[in-house]
Amino acid sequence: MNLKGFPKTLSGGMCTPHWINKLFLTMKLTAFIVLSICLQVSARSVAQQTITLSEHNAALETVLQKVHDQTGYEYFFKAQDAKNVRVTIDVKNTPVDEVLPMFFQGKDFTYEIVNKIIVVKKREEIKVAASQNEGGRGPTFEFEGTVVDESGEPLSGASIKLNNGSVVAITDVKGRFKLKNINEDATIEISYTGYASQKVKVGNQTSFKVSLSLATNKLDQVQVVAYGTTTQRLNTGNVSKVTSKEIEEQPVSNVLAALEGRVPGLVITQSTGVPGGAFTVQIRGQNSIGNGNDPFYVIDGVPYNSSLPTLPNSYALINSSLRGGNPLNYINPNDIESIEVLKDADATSIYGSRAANGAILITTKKGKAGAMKLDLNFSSGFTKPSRDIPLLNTQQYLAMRHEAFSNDVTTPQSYDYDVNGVWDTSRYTNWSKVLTNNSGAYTNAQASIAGGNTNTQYFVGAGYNRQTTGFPKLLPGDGSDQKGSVHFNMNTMSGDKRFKLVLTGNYVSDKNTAQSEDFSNDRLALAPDAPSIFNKDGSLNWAPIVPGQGGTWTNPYSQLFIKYKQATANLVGNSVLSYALLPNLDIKASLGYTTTRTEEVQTYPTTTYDPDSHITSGSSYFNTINNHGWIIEPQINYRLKLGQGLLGVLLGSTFQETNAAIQHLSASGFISDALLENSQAANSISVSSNSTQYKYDAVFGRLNYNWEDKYLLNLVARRDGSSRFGPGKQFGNFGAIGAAWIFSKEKFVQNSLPFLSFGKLRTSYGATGNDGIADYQFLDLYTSTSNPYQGIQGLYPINLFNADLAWEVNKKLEAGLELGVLKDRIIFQISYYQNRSSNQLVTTYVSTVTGFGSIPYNLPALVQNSGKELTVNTINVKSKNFTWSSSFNLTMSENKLMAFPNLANSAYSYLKIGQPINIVPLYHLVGINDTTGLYQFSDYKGTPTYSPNYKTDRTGFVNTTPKFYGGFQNSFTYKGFSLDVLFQFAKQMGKNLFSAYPVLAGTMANLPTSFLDRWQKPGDKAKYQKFSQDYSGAAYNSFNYATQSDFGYSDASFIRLKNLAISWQLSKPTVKKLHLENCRIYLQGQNLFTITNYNGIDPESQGTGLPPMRVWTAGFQMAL
Amino acid sequence: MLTSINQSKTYKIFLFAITLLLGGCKKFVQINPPVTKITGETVYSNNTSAAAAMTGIYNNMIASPSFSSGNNSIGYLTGLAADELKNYSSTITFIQFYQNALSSSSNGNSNAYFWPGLYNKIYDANAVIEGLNNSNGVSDSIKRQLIGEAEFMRAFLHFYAVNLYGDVPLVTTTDYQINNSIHRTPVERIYQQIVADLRDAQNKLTDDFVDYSGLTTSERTRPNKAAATALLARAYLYTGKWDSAETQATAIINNNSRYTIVNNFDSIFLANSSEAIWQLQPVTPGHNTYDGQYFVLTSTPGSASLSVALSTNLMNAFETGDKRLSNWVGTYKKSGANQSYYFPYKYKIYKVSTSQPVTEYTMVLRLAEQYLIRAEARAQQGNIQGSQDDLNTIRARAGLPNTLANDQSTLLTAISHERQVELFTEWGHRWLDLKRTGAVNSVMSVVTPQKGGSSWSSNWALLPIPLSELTINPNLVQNPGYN
Repeated sequence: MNLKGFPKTLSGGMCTPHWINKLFLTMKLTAFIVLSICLQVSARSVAQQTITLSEHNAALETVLQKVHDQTGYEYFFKAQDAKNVRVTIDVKNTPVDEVLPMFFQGKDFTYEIVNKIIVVKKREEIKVAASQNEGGRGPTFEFEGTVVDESGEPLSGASIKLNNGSVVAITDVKGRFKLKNINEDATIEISYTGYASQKVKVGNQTSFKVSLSLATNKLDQVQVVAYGTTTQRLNTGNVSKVTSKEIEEQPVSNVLAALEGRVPGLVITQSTGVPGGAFTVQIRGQNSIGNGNDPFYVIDGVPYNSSLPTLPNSYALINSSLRGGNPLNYINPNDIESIEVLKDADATSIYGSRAANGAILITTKKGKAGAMKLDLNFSSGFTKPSRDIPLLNTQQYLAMRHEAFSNDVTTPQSYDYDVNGVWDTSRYTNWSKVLTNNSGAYTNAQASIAGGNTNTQYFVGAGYNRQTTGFPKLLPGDGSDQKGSVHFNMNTMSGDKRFKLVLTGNYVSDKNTAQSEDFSNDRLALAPDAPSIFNKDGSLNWAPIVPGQGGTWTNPYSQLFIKYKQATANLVGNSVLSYALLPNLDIKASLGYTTTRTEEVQTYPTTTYDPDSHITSGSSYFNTINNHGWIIEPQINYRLKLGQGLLGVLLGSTFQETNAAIQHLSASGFISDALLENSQAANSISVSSNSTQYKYDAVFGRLNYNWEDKYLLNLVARRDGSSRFGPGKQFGNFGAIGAAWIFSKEKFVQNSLPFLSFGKLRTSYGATGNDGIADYQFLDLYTSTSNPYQGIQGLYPINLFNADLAWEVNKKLEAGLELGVLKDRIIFQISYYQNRSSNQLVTTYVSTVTGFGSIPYNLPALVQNSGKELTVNTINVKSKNFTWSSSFNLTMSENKLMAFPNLANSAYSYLKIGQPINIVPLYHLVGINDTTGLYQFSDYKGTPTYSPNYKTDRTGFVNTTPKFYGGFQNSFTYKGFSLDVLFQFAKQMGKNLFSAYPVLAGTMANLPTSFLDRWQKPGDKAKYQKFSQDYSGAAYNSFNYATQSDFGYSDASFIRLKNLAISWQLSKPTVKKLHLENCRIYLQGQNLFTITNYNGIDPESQGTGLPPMRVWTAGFQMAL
Repeated sequence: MLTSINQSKTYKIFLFAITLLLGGCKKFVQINPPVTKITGETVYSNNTSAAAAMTGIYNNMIASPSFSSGNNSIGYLTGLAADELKNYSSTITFIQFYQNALSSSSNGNSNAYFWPGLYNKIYDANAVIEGLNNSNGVSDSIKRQLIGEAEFMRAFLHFYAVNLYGDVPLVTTTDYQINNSIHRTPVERIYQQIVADLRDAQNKLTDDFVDYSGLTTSERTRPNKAAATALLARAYLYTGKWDSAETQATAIINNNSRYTIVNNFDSIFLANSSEAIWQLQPVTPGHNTYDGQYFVLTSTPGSASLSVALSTNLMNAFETGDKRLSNWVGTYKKSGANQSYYFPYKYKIYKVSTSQPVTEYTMVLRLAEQYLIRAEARAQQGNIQGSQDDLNTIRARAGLPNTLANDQSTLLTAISHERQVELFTEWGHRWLDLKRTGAVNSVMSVVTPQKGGSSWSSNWALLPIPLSELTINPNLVQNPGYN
C-alpha cells in the first residue's frame, strides 16, 4: 500500500540528536527518582489499604472504627440510623474497596469516599438526586455503574451494551459509566478485553459496581499485540501465544528453547547444546535470500537485539563453541508472563520495517493487587547430550587404516603415528565417553514477591539458573553458564486514576565459562588408539617420538587450559506514562532503555602448548561488547462510539536509537601465565574495534472499528525512516488492512448451526518495509590497520558500498477461519498465508575480482513464503477430578522463488524459479563403480563420471525447507496431579554426517561405525566408497564431489519428546497445615527422546557439535 | 454521556498531538560515519590520510602470513609445487600443492589461495588512484608519489596473477558492476597494462626512498622509481623484450651509489640492506619475517606448524663451495637421530620477543635479480661477454669460479641454474622460471611422481580458478584440466 499523500511535516527541525540525548538523560534520572519514591509509597499504602476483620453481627460504627484503625480512613454518618446496622464479616488482608461494599450489601444504606472519609448515607438519597436531575422520577431513570476487575481496580474502556444491542457507553478512567433513560427491565452487558462478559438486570437498582473476572475461555484471554492488547476472539490478525505456565514447565536457560514446537509458523533451531550458544529463529520461512531473517523482539515495549554486535567477518563471541551466541540468553525465562508471536501484516505492520520478518513480544510478569504473596521455586537436575552415534573401536579403526593403505598401494608415512608404530596400537579410548558424554548439571531457583492494592501493584522477582555441559573440566567452575536475575514491575496511578505509571525492569547478570572448544568434534576425529591424556606423573602427554622433540598429537585436554570467561550484564527497562486527558482520550509515552554489556576474556597459558614448541609466553583475547539503545514512543489513544460500533484511534511515533560497540584486544608476550587476564602485563597488544549506530523513526496510525463484536476492521498506516539508507532513500510508506467477521454472532448462523459457539473469518493484507542489513552499507568506509608501518597506521577500504540501497518490501496476505465448537471446548484455527518479499535487501556474493566477496544490494528477486497453519485446542475430558486437554499445531510451508530477472548471470544462478531459495545445487551421486570402488556421479546427460562439471552437471538439488512441522501437547490433571507432554515433529531434509563431517574415510580420523559399509572388492554392494588415505588420489577427488552431492543430504525428519512435566499439588488441608498458600513438587524433562532415521548426530542441529541437551530436573514450588 | 465531550476541544487536542507526534524528521535518521571508520571522501581530502591509504596496502601485505610471506606465501606454496621444498605435513593444502593435485573443487582452501588476496589489493590500489584523481585536498607532489606507488602496486599484483593463473581479469577500476562480470584478458594485454603502469610510475616516483610524507628516508619500504624500473626489467624479460629488459636493469645496476651487491651474507636480508630495491617491513609485534618463522626449523618438520624442508633436488643443485649453501641453507638434526633436515636460512630469525627490534625485512626486489635479468637479456641478444660478466658478479659473491658457459645456449642454462640457487624460495621465482623458460614439463614430469603425485599434466602449470568465482561470474572460464 503506498500512501503518497502522507504529510511531509517530517522535516521539522525540532528534534536534533542532542535534544533527544538531553531529554533522554533527564528521563532516565526522573525515572529513577520516581521509582525510588514510588517503591516507598507503595510499601506504605499497601500496608494501609488492606483489612482483616472478623465480626459477627456487630454495629456498623464499631466495624468502621476498626477499619479506621487499620487503614486510617475516617468515617462519617450522614444517615445517623445507619450506625446500628448489624454487620457480619470475615475477611483477611482484603482491599478496602472490596470490603466496604460488603457492609452495605442488601442494606438501605450505601457509602461514598470523599478525601479518605467514608460517608455513609441512605440509598434513596442518590436515587432522589438522580431523579431530581432528570426532573422527577418516572418510568425511566438515569443509571450509573462502576466496572472493576477481580482486585477492585477500575477497568477503563470497558464497553457497555444495553438489551443485547450495540455499545451505548464506554467506561472512563475510574471505570464509571452513566446511562440515561433506563427502565427496570433493562439488561446491561459489560465486556472488557481479557475478561468474561457479564450481564446484569437493572431491576430496582440505580447504580452498581460490577467486578469482572478474567476469562477462562481461551478465546477471551488477553493477547498482547503491538501498542495494546486484544483477545483471540476480536483479533483481526494472526497472533500465537505461549504462556508462563508452558515456559516454566521446561528446564531451559534460553526461552527460545521453550518455544520450539509450540507455535505454528515459527521454526526455532538450536545450533548447539552448549548453554549460551546460538539459535536460529524464523517466522514463516526465509523471506530474504541473504540477510535479515530474524524476527523483531520486543520486551515490554522495548526493542531487543536479535544478535550480538560483531567485528566484521567474525562471530560475536570469542568462544568458538558458543558460535555467535544469542542475546535472549540474557533474559530469565521465569520472568516471562507471556510470549506473543505476531505473524501476519495486520499484527506486525504497526511495528513497521522492524517486524518485516514477524515479531516476538515478550511480556514480563506484572504485579497483581492483593495480599503480599511470596513464591519460591527450586529445581535441580542433570543434562546429557540428547543423541550420540557409535564410533569405530581400535580394532576396526586400524583395520580401516590398513585397508586404506593397501587400497592406495602404499605404506604409512612418518606422520601416520596411529599406524606406523609411534602410538601404542593396543590402546583403546572411547573418546565420546571421555570428552562429551559426562553429565552436566542444571539448577534453577526463583523467588518472587507480588501484591498491591487498587492503586499500586508490584512484582519483584529474583532468579538463579546454572547449567553445565558434560565436557571435561580442570576446575569445578569451568564449563558453566550461570544467570542471576532481578525483575521488578510496578503499576501505580494517581488518586483520580487519570495518571498512570508502569515501571518494569529486567536485569540479568550472566557468567559463562564454557570450555574453549566443543569437544564433540574432537571425539569424532581422534583415533581410538591415540595416546593417553596424562603421563604417569600427571602431566599432559604430548607423545613425542623422542622426548624433547615435539609431540605427535594435540592433546584434547590441552584445550582445557584455555580459560574462557564471559560476563554479561543486561538491562531492559521500560516506563509507560499515561494520562487521561479526556474520559475517552489518553496520551501516553512509552520510554524504554536497554543495555547489554559483555566482557569476554580467553586466555592461552603456556601450559596449553606442547612444551617442545618452545612457546614461552601466553596470550589472551579480550572482547568488550557494548550495546545500548533507547526508544521513545509518544502515543494518543482515542475511543469513540461511532454508529453501532466502537472506534479506536491510535496515533503514535517512534524514535529509536541503537548503539553497538565492540573492542577486541589480542595481547601476547605475557610475563607470566598468572597475569593473562591483565592486558597490562602483555608485551604487545593489538586492537580492533567496531562501532555502529542505528537510528529509526516513524509515525504511525491505527484505526480499529468494532461493530457489535461482529464486524471488525483494522487499518494501519506508517511512514518509516531508517539510518541504514543513504540520503533520499531513508523513508518509506507502508500500511495494512485487516478485517474479521464473527459470523457466529449472526442470527441465521446461530439458528442453523447451534453447536457452533464461535466462528470467525478474518483476512489481512499489507506491506511492510525491511531494513535488515548491516549499518553504514551505503557509505564508502575505510578503517585503520592494527600496527604501524613506517611509523604510521595505514587505512584500507573495508567493503564494497552501495549508495543506492533502499527498502525491501514485504507484502503479506492472510486468511483465517476460527471455530469454537461445543461451548468452545474445541477451538480450531486454520490460516493460510502468503508473504512476498521483493526488492530483496541482501549482501549478495560477487566475484572476488571486485576486491571483496560481497556487496549490499537490492536484488530484483521476488520470494514467496506461503503455508497453512492449523491449531486445534480441545478440552477432551472435564470432570470434577480429571481433566484432559490437548493442543495440536501443524504448519505446512512452502518457499518459492517467483521471479528473478537475469538470474542466470547473477551470483544466485544456482537458484531456480519456482523452487525454494535455500536449495543447494548438488551433483547427483549414482553409486559406486564396481571395479574402482569409487563414487560416480551422473553428468547432465545421465552418463556416469568421476569428475562432473560444476556448471553443467549439478543437476540435483535439495530443499531444506521443512515440508511440515508442529507440536502436539497433552495435559492431564487428576486431583492434585498433572502431566504435560509435548511432542515436536518436523518433516525435512538436512545435511547428514557425511557432509557435516567431511573426512576422507581411511585417513587419520575416526568414523561412525556406519561407515564400515564400504566397497572392498568387485561385487560389493556398499554404501560408501573404498577406504583411502591419499589426498592426491582419485578416491579423494570422488569423495570431494560426493560431499557436494545429494549423498550429503538425507531425511532429517524427527519426532521428539520435547517436554515432559509431572507435578503434584499438595492438597489444600496439607498446604494449610504447612502454613503455605500453595505447594507443588514436580519432575520435568526436556528433549527426552527422538524418533528419527537421521544419518547423523542430531536432526535438529545437523552438525558435528554438541546436540541439544537432554535435561531431567526435579523441584518444588511453594507460595507463602 | 461522558463520551460526548465538547467536540472542538477534542479537535484542538488532536491537532496539538499530531504536530507533536509528527516531530519525526529527516535529521533524526541521518547518521555520522562510525567513530571507528572514516569515509573514502575524507581519506582523500588531505596528504596524511591519503598516504595512509597507500600505507594500508603495504601493511596488509605483511601483517599476517599471506601472499608475501609465511606458510601461505607464493614462495612457500609454489616452492612445494615446484622442486624446492619437501612436504612433511598432513595439511591438505600443502599435500595438494606438493603433489600438484590442485582442484578447483577441493575441500581445502587451496582453491582460493592467492586469487582473492591479489584482487583485494588491486581494488585498494585502484581506490587510491581514483580517490586521488577526484581529490582537491592533496598536494600535487604527494598526489604524484601516491599515484605512482598505486600504479606500481597494480602492476606488481597483476604480474603475479598472470603468472599464476594465465589469462586473468584485468582490473583498472573499483566499479563492481564492471568487475563482477569481467572476462579474462589475454596475457599479452595484461603485460601491456603492466608496462604502461610501470612506465607511468617511473615518471611519477623519485630516485630517493621517501616516507609517507614525501620526505627522504633510509627505509626502503615504499616502492620508488627503481622499484618500478626493476619490475619493468622483469616484465620485459618475461615477455622476451630483451633490449628493453637490459636497458631497465642497467639503469638500476648503474645506480651503484644506492644499490650494491652485498658481500657479507649475514647482511643481505637485513632491513634496508643496500642490495634491497624494495622491502616490506614486518608490522606484527613479536615477529620478524614470517618466512623466518615458517622456514627455520627448530624441531623436526611435521611438528609445531613447521611443515617443510629443502628438497634433495635443490640441495643437489648447489655446486661445491657455494657460499650460499653454507650461508642460506640451515641444518636441523635432532640429537641421536641420523637424519638431517635442510631449510631456507636467508632469514635467520624465527621469532623475536616484542621488546627486541625488528632487524630483518621481507625482501621483495633485490639487485642480484637485476644482474641475472641483464645476463639473460644479454645472452638472448648474443652479448656473450656481457652476459658472462653479469653472471660472474653473482657467482663471485657466492665464492664460485667464473662460468664456463660460453655460448648463448649454455649461458641460458647456466643463468637458469644460477637463478635456482640464488633466488630459491623467494617470491616463486623457481616456479615462474620453469614456466617462463618452458622447462616446466620436462622438470615436473620427473619431480611430480617423485613427490608422490600422479603423472604430470602440462595443465597443472596454471592454478585452477576458484570454483566459487566461476559460479558467480559465468563469464569466467576455468583453466583447462580442471573441472
